[in-house]
Amino acid sequence: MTEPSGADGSFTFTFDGVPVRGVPGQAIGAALLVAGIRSVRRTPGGSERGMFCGMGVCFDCIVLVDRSTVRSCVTSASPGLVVSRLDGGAHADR
Amino acid sequence: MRTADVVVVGAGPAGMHSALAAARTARDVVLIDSGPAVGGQYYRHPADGSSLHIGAPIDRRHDTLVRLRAELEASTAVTVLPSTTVWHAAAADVGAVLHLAPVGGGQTSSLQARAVVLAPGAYDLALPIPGWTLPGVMTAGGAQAMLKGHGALLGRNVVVAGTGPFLVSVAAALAGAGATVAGVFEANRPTRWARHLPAVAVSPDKLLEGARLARLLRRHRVPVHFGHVVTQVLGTDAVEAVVVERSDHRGSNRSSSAREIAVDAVCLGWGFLPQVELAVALGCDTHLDRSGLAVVVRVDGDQRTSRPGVFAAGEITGIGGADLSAVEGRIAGLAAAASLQGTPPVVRRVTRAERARRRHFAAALSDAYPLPRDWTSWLHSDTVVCRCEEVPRASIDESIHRLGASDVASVKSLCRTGMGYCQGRMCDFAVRTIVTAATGRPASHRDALVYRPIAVPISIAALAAGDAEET
Repeated sequence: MTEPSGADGSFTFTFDGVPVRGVPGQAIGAALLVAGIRSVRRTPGGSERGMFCGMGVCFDCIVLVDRSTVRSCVTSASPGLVVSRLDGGAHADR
Repeated sequence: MRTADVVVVGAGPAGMHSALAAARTARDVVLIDSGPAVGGQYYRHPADGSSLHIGAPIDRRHDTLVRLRAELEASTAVTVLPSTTVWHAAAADVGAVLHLAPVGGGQTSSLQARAVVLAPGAYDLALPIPGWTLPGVMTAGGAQAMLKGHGALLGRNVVVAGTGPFLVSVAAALAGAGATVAGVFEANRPTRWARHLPAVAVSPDKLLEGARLARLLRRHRVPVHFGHVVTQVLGTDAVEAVVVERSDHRGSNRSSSAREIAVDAVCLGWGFLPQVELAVALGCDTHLDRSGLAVVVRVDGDQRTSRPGVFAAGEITGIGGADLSAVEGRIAGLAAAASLQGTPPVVRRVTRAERARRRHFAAALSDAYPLPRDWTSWLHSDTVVCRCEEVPRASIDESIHRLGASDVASVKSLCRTGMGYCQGRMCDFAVRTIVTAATGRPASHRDALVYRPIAVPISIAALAAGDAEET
């Protein structure tokens, strides 16, 4: 699934340490979808969640980037970005 | 603080047309959108030359976007502020003070608008059903946004369900991009259109668009099942199947007809809810729309709200689609610019006539695609209604029947519905429906959880940092 930087400007970022290919302008959540990753976090109640509204309204697809939670559906992926899952518990400080 | 003559919030069809119309006479027009480029949800697209385009282009709307974008770029009066959120609006004697924050964090700022046009658009109305929180379930608008804007398909084997012509549009786009669409399950039947033939007759473009989409679905062998609803999504950690049931002409479903279809993704679309928070913050009068579902902003013939210097256009005045939004936007832009001189706008009669025709069609659409009347019976006691706070149906029922809650606000304070990240945008409608059904009180726009001081959640850090220094 992972390829070196391509002619289309594609790049690699990581999700919980796993390399994922992204394209400039592509949201983190979309790149994850293309890579076959649909569950992006586990709720404090223990259920898996992914993108739902796809336009920044529902906050279901939040992920951790640089110790902040961001909406993966409206936050662009970028080369080398380190993204991780929220796994239960309290959400990190926004 | 920076001052502008006319500030337009939202750069979808209504906002782009507003800004261009205002720029005919106003000298300093600012067009703000949270997206990285103009276009909004309707004209959602990847950047030019991006490899994110997948599937065949399904319509000619991109040409319209290119033209509007070129006009905006050519205008010396219009400044576009992309990737910017208006997180709060404060009323002024005339116009408003808008509080801005960059999407993705950064320095906040304020902007004084002598006149403001609110054109923030809408988001999908989501109805909770068992399993709707599983990864692989998306709103129809969300699935479309991921496909058109980001080159991502939500699944390989998909069903599209809910009501309204948008379902067909999404199904055609998904199929065109290579997904197998196992079926479109439309809750209503086309016979509901019989009473609205005059509205269709004066909007032949809509008829042609419908016929074109129907042809596309046939080409991709996508079956459309009228009078069917998806009542449940099954799966452990992601979507594995859906339960489909037939519904009768009154919208009651028959569980005896239930069957399972194995899929890996589901698109649900039940219509749209407008983003009225900024209008509410500014004190604009609101009311429930024709369907009784959505809180919308009241406007006069020149798209004026009840607040001086505040105008509204597009979905925020009633869900009506891109064409109605565009014409309302033109009128609002002209009116906002004219208000700077204290004069009424000069609006051509054909423009007003087009708005009337588009509204007529929107009303027919609303009547032809009602929600199933007993959709709350699909909820089990453990079905999560508030996704953010993971509040099940049983907790809402307990708040009402055991703890005596008789309105949405009391339910919220007792069981936390609408208190999470989305501030009730996803569950407010469902909770309102459950409460009004239980108490027998008629639904009122005052019950809706749209009365939020902060229109878009922003970080405490951004708030604490305060506005940028005056420059």
